[in-house]
Amino acid sequence: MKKYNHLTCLLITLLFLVSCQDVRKGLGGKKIDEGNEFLVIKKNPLVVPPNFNEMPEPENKNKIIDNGTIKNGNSKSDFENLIKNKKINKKELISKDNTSSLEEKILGKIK
Amino acid sequence: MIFENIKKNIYLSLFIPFIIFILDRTSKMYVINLSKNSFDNELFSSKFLNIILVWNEGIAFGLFSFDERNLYNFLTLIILIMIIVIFIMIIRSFGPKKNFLLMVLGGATGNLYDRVFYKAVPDFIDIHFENLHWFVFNVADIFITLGVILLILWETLMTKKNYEKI
Repeated sequence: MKKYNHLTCLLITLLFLVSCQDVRKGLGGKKIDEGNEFLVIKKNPLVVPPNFNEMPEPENKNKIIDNGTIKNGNSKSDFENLIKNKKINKKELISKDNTSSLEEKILGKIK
Repeated sequence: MIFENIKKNIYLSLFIPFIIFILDRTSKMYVINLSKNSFDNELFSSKFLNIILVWNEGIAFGLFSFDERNLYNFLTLIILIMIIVIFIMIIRSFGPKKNFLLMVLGGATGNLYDRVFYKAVPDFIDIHFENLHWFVFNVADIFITLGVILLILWETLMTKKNYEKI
């Protein structure tokens, strides 16, 4: 009987002196007392915003926002115009280059 | 002459817990420094052994690990009393039993040091087989457990006859 008492004493000592820990705490990361934010912040009910009707409709694809203004027009034609204008500008530039002499060109570049 | 002999014995006796304490401290410091540099708590992983830093504020198996400061201090006080009792037992005992108790003392002081200075004990050795994990422990725990197991074996196997032989 005395022997068993001695053994229990030893086991209790082991229990207190050893400090092993469940692995789940380690794998779950450090748990910091963050509090429950849902209890702190009051949730507002879901409502339709007052300017909801003023928003643009997604169906109208022709509306293109250009420089902050809303335009009505075809996107394809606009693109074509842009390319054409670019071609014209290039032609103008080439013609200008032809008229100016080589000397002027070099001078211009130096300046 | 007798005084010198006692002094010599004390030095020899203190050598075992001192070595265990130093081993425990260096391993803990190494793991804590490693964890400071890495983002994750898991520092090393292999098929059977993982090194993962976990702070234990309670006792064995993570028991009594609550945020209560008073309970923590109470547990530390109990552990301190236990260490004093072990120390008294060491003075009174002799032979292999004394060495086993010295092993327990070395480990216990190592864990107590962390409890006092860090307010928690770092555990990092995680032995596992696939998904079966044993509890995470440290070097001090190894020596305490080994010491207690050897003490139990010593107590059970040593009959009165054997004691007389010694």
